Amino acid sequence: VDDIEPLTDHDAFYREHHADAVRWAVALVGDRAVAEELAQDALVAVDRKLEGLENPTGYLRRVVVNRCASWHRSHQRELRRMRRATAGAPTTYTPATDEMLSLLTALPYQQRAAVTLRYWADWTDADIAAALGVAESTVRVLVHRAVATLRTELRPEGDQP
Amino acid sequence: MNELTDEQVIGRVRAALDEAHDTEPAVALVARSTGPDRREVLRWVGIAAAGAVVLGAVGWAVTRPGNDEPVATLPEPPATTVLPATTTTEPVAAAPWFVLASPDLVPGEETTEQWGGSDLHQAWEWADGDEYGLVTATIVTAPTSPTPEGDYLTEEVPNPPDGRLWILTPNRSDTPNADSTALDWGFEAFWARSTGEVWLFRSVGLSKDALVRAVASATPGSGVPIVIADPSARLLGLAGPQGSGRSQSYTSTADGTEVVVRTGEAVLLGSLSGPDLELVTVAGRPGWQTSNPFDGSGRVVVMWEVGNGTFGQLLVPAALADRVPGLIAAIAEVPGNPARPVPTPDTGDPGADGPRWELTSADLVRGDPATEQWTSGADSIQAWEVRNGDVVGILTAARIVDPDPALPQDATLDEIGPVSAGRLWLATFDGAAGALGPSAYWQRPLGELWLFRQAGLPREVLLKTILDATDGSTEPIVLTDPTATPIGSAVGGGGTNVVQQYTSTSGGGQVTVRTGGPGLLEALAGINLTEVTVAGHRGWLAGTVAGDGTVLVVWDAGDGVFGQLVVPPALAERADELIAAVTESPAD
Repeated sequence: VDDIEPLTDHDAFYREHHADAVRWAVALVGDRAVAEELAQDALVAVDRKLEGLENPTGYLRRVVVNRCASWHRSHQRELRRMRRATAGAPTTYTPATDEMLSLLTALPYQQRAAVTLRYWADWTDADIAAALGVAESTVRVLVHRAVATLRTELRPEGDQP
Repeated sequence: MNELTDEQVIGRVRAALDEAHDTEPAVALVARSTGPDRREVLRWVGIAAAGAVVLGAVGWAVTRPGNDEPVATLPEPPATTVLPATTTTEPVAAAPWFVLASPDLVPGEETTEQWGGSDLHQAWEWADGDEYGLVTATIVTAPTSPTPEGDYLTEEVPNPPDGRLWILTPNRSDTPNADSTALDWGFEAFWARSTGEVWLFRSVGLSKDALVRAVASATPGSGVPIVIADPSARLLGLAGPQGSGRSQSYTSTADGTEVVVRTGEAVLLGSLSGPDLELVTVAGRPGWQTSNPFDGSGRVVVMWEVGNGTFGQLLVPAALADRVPGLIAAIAEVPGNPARPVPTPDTGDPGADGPRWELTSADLVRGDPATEQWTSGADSIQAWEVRNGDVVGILTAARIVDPDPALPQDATLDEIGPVSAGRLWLATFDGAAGALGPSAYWQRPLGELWLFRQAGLPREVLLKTILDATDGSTEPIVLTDPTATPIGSAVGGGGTNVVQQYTSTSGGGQVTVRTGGPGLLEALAGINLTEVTVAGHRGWLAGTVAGDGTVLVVWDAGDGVFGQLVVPPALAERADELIAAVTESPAD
């Protein structure tokens, strides 16, 4: 028992936030495995600065949002290309989920972040605004536009190919 | 169509993300790095709005060369520049620069100006017969008022395509100098969009009727925020919420007044104001000159098009206003800075006219045609066919003017160098994406990123073909290699494809046929490329595109129209039969 070291603040922060970070990243990239890696990166980045942070959770939110944005930038062309190339091929997800993930990927990143973080990750508009670096009113506009686009593009459930 | 309610849409979002969260995909769409340490994020500084407010909501901060400490640094870089590990990158070289040579004007120190704001700016040139002027637009995402305020004479336009629209006339005669916002400009338009945004248009040199016509043809764009789909309009430039420029003051030995030379983005065009717009030529480039009698300064503003979304500016105080022609003649470009015009967005959209092709096969059931919007993040896409000995391949190039320069995180990057300009990397991907073959990422001196992709081209042929690539004057990128023949070019960063899916009644999935522009060529990838003929048109077939046996065929129907056939792995052995079954749809 004496060999067991007590949890450090770093360990505690990691344990407390790992699942959340993964969930947030899933909202932003739509892929569990990629999300886990991005969340891990973000947690490592926060860990390096943990002592100096007034709001480590808020900082983690921002880092996750930014890392996922970078991931989208560097992969969007590959994603689009692969999506076109693999159209009609069987996918891992149900057709409805596949359709939604595809539509989310097609949204501008800030719209995607706003709608998924608000309605799935349960962030407040203030949290989203802080992480995206925009005004709360902008978040509401982003959500409105995202939902409007999805509503236009979505097929009724069961009508997916 | 039964449109879903907001609640149903949100429910679908939640259900999809629940499933994605709880599912570990068997095969990732793209290869991933093996650990967090492989990525090295270049820290970018965010420059807060500070210093003198020059233009509306845009704030400027000034730093001096060699002392580029930011005014404020964000705690986490704003999701921007990702560079490969073990690579150190110097800041991108400066944009073209101009000097003023006059014996009685003493040059001061060059400064770097960083500006930050929250709004997007675009500028167009409008030319229709005798009517000539400039139109600028600002998208205000969080307007303080949904209706126009200020010293204007307002006239609401009935039944606009969206929201509410007013045309504003500066109220000069009643209250000169009372409201600089109103008085600095010609006719304006205030368009309160249904999304909550306000599109604020300003004009210089245009009649009210011309501005109304320009605004009436403005729609949200896919590659740029606003498209003015009128042949009289030419996009001059686009400026995002943040950017930078250069400035240098020249002090008169006679009276101590200062002339300023500056370069920057389209937002600078906002400084042109006044009732008259005079056309001038500066350093061989087309430009404009204004002087606004209503702002009380007597200052003359001269601007010129540098290219690549950049503009030059000369500010002459009232005391030197009579010397403007001579000062313009004394401006020279610093050698060695190539420049070229911003391409005009492609207002034609091959996919917008409906499907051009039909696939006729006894066991394929045709679905309803659908459209898909796509954006590329690039401002242009070009394609070439490359014939080098026995090698036949397709090369595409995407030019990203404002790239937040990003190199792929999960590729093996080999820097090729030295090259004629900037830095060039060859990227190869691991895993499933490895079947795409090598790509090339060329970071250009002016900050652009050129992204080359290929199908059928080995590494050495790819490099040979692109190494002499240069900036073009009519096309964004010119390949001088004689083995490369241009086959398509599209600007505007996005478009519409028409998608037609055919379901196999005997199993095997769906065959997809698309009609679109040269962007469809981007999906061609892989080591092997075969020439085919589809509906009488020259085409190319790439097998095992996604590493899973998918067969993809693209053909060139001419006039910028391309077709695409995607055959799932289970039907791959029928590819030849399906290619032969593609026919041109009867014209409407």
